[in-house]
Amino acid sequence: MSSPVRKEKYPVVDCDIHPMVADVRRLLPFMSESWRRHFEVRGMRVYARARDRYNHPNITYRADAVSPAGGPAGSDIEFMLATHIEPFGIASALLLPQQPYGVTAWGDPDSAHAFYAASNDYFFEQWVPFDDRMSLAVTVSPHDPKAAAAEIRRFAGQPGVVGIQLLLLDTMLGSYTLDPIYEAAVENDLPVVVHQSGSEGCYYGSQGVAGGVPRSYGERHVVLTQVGAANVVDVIVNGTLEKFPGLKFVMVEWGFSWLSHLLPRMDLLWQRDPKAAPRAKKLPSEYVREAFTFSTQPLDETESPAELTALFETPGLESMLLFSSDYPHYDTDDPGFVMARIPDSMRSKVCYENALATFGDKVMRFRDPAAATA
Amino acid sequence: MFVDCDRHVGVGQYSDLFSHMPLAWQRHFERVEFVSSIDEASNHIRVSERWDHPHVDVDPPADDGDEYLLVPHQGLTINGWADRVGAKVFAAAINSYGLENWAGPTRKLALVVSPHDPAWSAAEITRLAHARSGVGAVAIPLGDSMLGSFTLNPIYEACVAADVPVLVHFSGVEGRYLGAPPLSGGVHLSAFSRLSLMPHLAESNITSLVFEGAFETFPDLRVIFAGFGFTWLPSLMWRMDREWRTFRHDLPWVKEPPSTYLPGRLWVTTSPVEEAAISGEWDRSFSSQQLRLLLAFGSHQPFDGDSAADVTRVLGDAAAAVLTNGKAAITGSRESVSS
Repeated sequence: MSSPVRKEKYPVVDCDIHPMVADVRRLLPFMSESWRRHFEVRGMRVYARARDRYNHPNITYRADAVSPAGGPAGSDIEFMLATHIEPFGIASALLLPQQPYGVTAWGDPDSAHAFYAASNDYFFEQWVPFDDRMSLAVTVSPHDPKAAAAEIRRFAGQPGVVGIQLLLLDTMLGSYTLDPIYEAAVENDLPVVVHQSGSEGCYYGSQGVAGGVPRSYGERHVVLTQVGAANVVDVIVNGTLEKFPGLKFVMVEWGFSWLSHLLPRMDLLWQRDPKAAPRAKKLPSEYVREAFTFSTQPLDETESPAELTALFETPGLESMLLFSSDYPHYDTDDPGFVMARIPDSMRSKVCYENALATFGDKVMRFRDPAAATA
Repeated sequence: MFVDCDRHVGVGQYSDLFSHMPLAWQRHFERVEFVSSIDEASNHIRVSERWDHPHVDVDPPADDGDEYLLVPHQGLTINGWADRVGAKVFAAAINSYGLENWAGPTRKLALVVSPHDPAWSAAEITRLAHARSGVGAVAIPLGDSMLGSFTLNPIYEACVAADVPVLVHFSGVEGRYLGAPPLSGGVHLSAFSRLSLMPHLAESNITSLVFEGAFETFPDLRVIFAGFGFTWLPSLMWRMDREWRTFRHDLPWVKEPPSTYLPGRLWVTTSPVEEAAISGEWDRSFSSQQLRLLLAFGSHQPFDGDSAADVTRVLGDAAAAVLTNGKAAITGSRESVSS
């Protein structure tokens, strides 16, 4: 890891870390015999993006995140601890396993469930007990919401399990078909974490950006945040939060600067005609402030101090932001980079207080937060 | 005095257009269902699930000293038509009718062209360019391809040759009619959702224009995005610049930071300006004079739009310039657009 690094004075909860299985065949022992044979014969696709459609111009991970011991970046927990967790004073790492994202390109609900269940078992057994700073979001998919709900309940209450990583197909978050998942989430006080999978804009069966088909990876990446915004709108308009009070969403890697124009727009439209969204019983922005949090990465790079100030002035944003690095991807934000840009008044909230409010004390299960200060 | 870049006009009945079509096409369009569909077509622009709407006057405004760019909202809906051949006939009839009946000394018409047939569109623009005093812009309904696609180059070439801007406005069928462009996410059955997310079409298409090098190919091209609001623009520019810095080696035809292409080439109109009032921090996002020059007044009248007084109330000191920035968009200069 490049130097210098500086620990923050507050403990930092990093809400976007992608652990990897060094060799995906290590998941096989966590499956039934029949599923093992299935995947041994048919293989496992562990990436979501159609690489022949949108191929990344570089590599998707940072070179200094590859362990000398081998394996893909993010697969060596000791290396991650030594080069990312420790140096930056990460007090809790929200693990969002990436290889399950591949199931968003799968058509078979049962094999998808078998894969992500094995992934959940693997990381729960191998990573969570390894270090108290490891906090896991168990992965589920909307291929079969009832099976997903059962998976949530299987891990609910387990130490180190703090959330649910919900993968997206073409079904948006406000769909009633996801109700079994939300019921299990609320029942067990587990926030629903939604991260880009890479499938966006690739397939029938995935969600996409407005307007059509971006030509290049870079062009697509500019507007990919739109999918996150669309799902926020869908939750509100469909009354999901009225149906499930207490349900929380953590939107990771969708950006947040668009909140400053989407929320006023929704509020204006609702005020003009509340019956146009009858399941929304109050201002849309109120739902967002109550139920949504957003990760900081990728942090928009503004042009002037005034613009930087404006970036953080969306009302209520101070309680909605969660620090995230997106380690080990190429565009990782380290805490120093982010904190240098966040208003002082928001720092403790972004570092850890908002994470505690979102995930509960279980996200910092190791010790008193005050003991983690440098 | 103001320059309104988003003033909608329409016909009260489709039969008004028939004399502007070849006889065989008149016979085609005079069928009962098409003629009676005018209400449906006229209300797409509202993006609403309210099926009864109060009547609004879609005649052009009087010559009162203010200047207008007239946007035929009924013509924009051809992006949802299955009949892309008939769509051209319809658009041509609206253009002909509009130049004859709507355009005036202070009222310029946005010609409607077909995104599905750029060659025809270019010919339509060139054919009508002799009526320069009446043509203020070329409205491209959003189609299958995003606006940066090279397939639309004939349209841009014709616009540059005629020295008129492209105007982009949603028709209201986006994300709803098959064949019209999708909105972000999945399928939004709710009109409220679609209207909330409509600005994403502007974001995607501005990004497409820049990242496909349209402004390199056509450095004199001017584009107005009308009806999408404007408060999203700074964050889009930040993201475009950031991604270009990361991937510029993959985009060698984009020679400069994306945001630098926009001044003098891109304008976004103000409606609904109340969004900026609710957000409260628009002026800090638009911190530079250069950014504010990208804003142009667009009322979106007569569809629950804004007045010049609304813009003045919300934008304060910046309003005076915004109310006349459209002049530069339409003419390429700040001289009067009056013929």
